[in-house]
Amino acid sequence: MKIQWPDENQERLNAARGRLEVAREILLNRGTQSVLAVLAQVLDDWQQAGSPWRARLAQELDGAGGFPADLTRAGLKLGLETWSGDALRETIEREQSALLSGSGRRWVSFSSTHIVLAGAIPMPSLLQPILSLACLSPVLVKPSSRDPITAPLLAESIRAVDEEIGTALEVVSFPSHDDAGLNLFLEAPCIVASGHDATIRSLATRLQSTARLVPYGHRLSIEVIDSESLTDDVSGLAQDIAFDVVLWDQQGCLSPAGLYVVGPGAAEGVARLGPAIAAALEDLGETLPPGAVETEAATQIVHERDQATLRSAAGDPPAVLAGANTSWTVVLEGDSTWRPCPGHRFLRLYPVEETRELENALAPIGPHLSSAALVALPERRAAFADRLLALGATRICRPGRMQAPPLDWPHDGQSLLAPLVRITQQEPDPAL
Amino acid sequence: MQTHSAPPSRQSLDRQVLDWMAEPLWRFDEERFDSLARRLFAFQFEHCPAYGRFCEGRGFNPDNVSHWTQIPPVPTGAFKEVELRCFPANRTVRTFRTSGTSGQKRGALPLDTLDVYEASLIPTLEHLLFPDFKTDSIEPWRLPMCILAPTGHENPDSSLSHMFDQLVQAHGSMETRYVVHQGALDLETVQQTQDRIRASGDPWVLLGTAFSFVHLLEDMTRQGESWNCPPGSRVMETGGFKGQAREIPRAELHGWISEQMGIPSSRIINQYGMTELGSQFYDSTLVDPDGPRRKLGPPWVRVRILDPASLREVPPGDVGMVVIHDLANTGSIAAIETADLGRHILDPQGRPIGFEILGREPDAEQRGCSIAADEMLGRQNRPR
Repeated sequence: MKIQWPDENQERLNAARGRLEVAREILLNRGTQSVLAVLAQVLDDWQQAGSPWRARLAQELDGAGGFPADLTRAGLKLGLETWSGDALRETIEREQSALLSGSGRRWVSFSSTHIVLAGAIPMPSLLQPILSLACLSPVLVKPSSRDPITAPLLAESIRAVDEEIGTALEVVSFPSHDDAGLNLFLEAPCIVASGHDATIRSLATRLQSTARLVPYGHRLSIEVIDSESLTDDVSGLAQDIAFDVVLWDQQGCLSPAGLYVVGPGAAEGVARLGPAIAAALEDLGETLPPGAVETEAATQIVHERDQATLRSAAGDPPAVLAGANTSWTVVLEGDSTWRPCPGHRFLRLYPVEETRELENALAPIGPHLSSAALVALPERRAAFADRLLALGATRICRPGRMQAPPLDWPHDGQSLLAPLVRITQQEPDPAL
Repeated sequence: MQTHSAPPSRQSLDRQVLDWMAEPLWRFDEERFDSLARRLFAFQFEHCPAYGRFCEGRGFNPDNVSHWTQIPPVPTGAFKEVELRCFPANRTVRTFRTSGTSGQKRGALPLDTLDVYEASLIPTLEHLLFPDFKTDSIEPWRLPMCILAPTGHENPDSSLSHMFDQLVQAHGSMETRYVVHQGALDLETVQQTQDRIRASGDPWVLLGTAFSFVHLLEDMTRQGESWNCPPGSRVMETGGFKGQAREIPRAELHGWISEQMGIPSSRIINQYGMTELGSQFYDSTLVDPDGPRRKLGPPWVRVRILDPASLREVPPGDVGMVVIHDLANTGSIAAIETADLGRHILDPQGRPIGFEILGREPDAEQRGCSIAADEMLGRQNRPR
């Protein structure tokens, strides 16, 4: 029988914090270049196709009720494609030099950074601790209940490269409703938090007034297709779009929550693309079967499907294409009114006949936009991209690449390092 | 659409439903329900063309439905987009609407008569919220009520305000007060009424949305107030916290009410209802104080818990999607698919004796950024 003492979480947190105080000295003594070399090696280890860490993550996440192993393997393969050690070095050096441009500037690392992870996707759990460590700040991670695997595995992979640097990453799991534990966890000079906007607002009220909060709230992504760029054969494009939808079962900020066909003949474009995407989703279901869908999510899917079917029965245009059970859904909408996306391979296609109407169509989601996959005629691509970025998107990419942001992508429009350090300036003394 | 055998008339259906509702003793007659549900389906299939086509698309029509459980339910969200009525628009006498912020589409339940709606709600309230009050004389019993909601006159779109109006008319005493005006809680009136009630010793009935109780409790806490309501007093709260600044678990809310107002938890009743339904469900603790807390409804309503993937009933006690079949919905659609999760509560023999609605677990984290964004944008907003 295992006895769980009421203050066990606090004891574990206190012990971890104590160890990180020691680790902080190690990081400072080793210095940026040495730590960065270790972290770069860690990323290189993860990036290799035969990486044992990737194999373990896929296996253990599956075993823990997360994504099926094949899906994790495919997501990691694409996501880590450009996340090399060299890319990390270049990113850190470039960001540092940008931060320090100006006379007398230095950056000072926080004595510790505590990271609240959320969601089920491993990629942010891999990158965020690495960035904080690169700033020489020891890291305490609270993993999400849906992915208890990635953070401890990352810690293990760092220790495998350098036992000493590995001590600077601690992982402590405890339930979010453990108020005392959470308050203790939040006692840090820098908190990086992902999650519901409401959760982040609630966390913010618990922080010390001097603490730095680096929030990553909710975002969603979209695909935008210039109707005039559509060729007779849309199957390749449909496969790329379907791949964006399928990876991580559409559970992340980078998954498309809707697709807009924009320009003359948009409705026809929707009618052509929809069945092609549906076919691609069905095919991908064979090689990358979906993970388990929780009852709540399945209920939402059924509800949204039935609602679209009923609208169709009432004479409105939506058509619903759906796989067996809740495996995938494509809804061909008749207008561009934003409607909910329950995720789990559920895509709505919206027609926007007048290009100038795109802003109106995206107005409800603009502030929440993360990435936009864009296909447009070459002469219009820049203009489309400008409009999407002006609406709130922070990244434009090609379909099929949504889940592969480069390592230096300014996530949510923020510099990667600036929020994780204190920038200081020492003015020259005129007397000297 | 194919031609099917002539459906029964609306008048005869209303009559049969009203007769059932008028019976003082509740009988959960399965055959009667099945027969009436299938005849009502035939009527609604014929007179609501969108629903008819929806059912045809599912392969069901009045000729091949052999049991009420085969009748296709419509999702509550559809009431925001499709007029689901079985009568001409010009016969609409009242439309209840779901709440929602500006710019959001609101669900609508148009009614051509309030007779069935009202005939359903009063006996259900009498049975489940006031089982200890019986009328032996011509005069109905009356109690002082505190309504934490605007009147139906001030808020004509609200089915909840209409329900409170009906209840006050049927059983409210002269001391009854509405204490929400123009969106503001009139704490002074609440306090004055409370003082008078305490002096009289009559049981007091407080009714309102869950969040209106939170406001009241916060005001009371700020002012250092606490009550000791007379024995027999009770609270009925309803609705969720969507769109509110904060969310309080139901058990916590009940504990707070109990502590601050001196009303035992067994007399604090949650109502589960929605604009799209003509009938409502209430916690069981007043009719069965010793049994598990669960939702109970009148005999003209059935609740099924379905596996959303297969649309088959889940094993008894398992969690699934709540689907409600309400014969009080004669003018709209009787079979309603909610977006709520629930499970049947079972007796020691494993038979369902009610159900519970499940909220998200307190520790539940984001399921996905896209979904959460929908929540930010107001995915579902169905409190009445």
